[in-house]
Amino acid sequence: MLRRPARALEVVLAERPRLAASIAAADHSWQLAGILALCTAVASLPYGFVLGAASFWKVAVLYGGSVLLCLPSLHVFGAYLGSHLQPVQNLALSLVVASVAALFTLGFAPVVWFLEATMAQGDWIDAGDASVALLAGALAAGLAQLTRCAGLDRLLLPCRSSRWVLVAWQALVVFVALRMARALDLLG
Amino acid sequence: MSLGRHGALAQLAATAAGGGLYGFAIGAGKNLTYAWRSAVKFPLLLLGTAVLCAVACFVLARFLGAPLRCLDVQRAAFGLFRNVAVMLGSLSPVSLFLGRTMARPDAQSLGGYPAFVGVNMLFLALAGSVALVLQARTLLVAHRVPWRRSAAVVVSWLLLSLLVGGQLAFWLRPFFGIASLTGEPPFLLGDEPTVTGARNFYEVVWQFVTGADPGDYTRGR
Repeated sequence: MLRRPARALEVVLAERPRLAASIAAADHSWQLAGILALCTAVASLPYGFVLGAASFWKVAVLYGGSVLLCLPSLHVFGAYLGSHLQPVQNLALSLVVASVAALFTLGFAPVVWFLEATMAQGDWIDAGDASVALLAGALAAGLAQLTRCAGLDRLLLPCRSSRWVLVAWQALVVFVALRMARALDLLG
Repeated sequence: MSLGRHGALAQLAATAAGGGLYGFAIGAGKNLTYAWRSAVKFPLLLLGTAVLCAVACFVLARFLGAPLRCLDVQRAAFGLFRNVAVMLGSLSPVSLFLGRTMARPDAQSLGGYPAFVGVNMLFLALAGSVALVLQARTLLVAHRVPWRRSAAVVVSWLLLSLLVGGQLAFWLRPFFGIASLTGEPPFLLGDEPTVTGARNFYEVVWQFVTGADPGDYTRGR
């Protein structure tokens, strides 16, 4: 995938069974986590640059930072409630959220550039509001992809309590991402 | 299934011709200046929307599970806009007739202008819906995408196109010529506020949805 970056997009977005199996197998978890992290960093760059040259890193930090901050809780609560995943597997699982969200921002980058260029500082809705909506939509897509991936392999969700851990963890990610967006001044 | 350079040029030409014809027809309701300007702007609206949404359409298609290559997605998305342009082009004689025969707006009243705009919005909705169904069927058959998934992909494209195309249309307005009621008609109004004070498409929608009184929006600009 490193030799063919377009493959990363395919695997992360479309080949959910393969992605879920790779995370569950734990054979190449570090490589997978590295690829997902790289995907997050690179795919979020265009959107970041549209927000401003000095802000190019903010989208990657928004998604990557938020899931990394929540990673320990996923691992610890998961372990207590029946999951046998190693930390690096949980890392890869978390980075699915960030990488999918980043890939969505890659698609949204031309759109947000256009909105920035054509929407004046509106009194009710401006380009900043539209950008927040797109960033939220991208995060929602990432969380949905995590749910779909986790549901594909029994090792990732071994019991009912693991599902609840995942749901609660996603709520935590949303909360942290909101705070992160405020801290990064992405909410306008 | 490969679409060569000639095929792509033919698609582009069909979009420009259909969109241009329709643009000319809706602008001619006001005068020839608007007709020619709308003939240029309407294809720009369709092509601009397709270009701006191109990458996002691919990401959405893959996310929703349609096994399409990037090229397939671009072809399908541009095909959607070409179909819309061609269908609207076929409605251009009707629009031209309605525009030339409507009660003219003047300083006291809008005359038949609201009805004219309404009918054209209906045409747009009709062309968009038919093109959508056609594209969903093409995806279903040519790429063996299950019906439900195919519909989800096309609906997501439609929503994205509406959100982006709506703002592009707002920025490129006027198409119908109402702005020339006073003064020299501009080629495009960009982010100039509407009579209700909205400065972008989303504010127009917001005002419409909340049923807000336009009088609330006087902002001294």
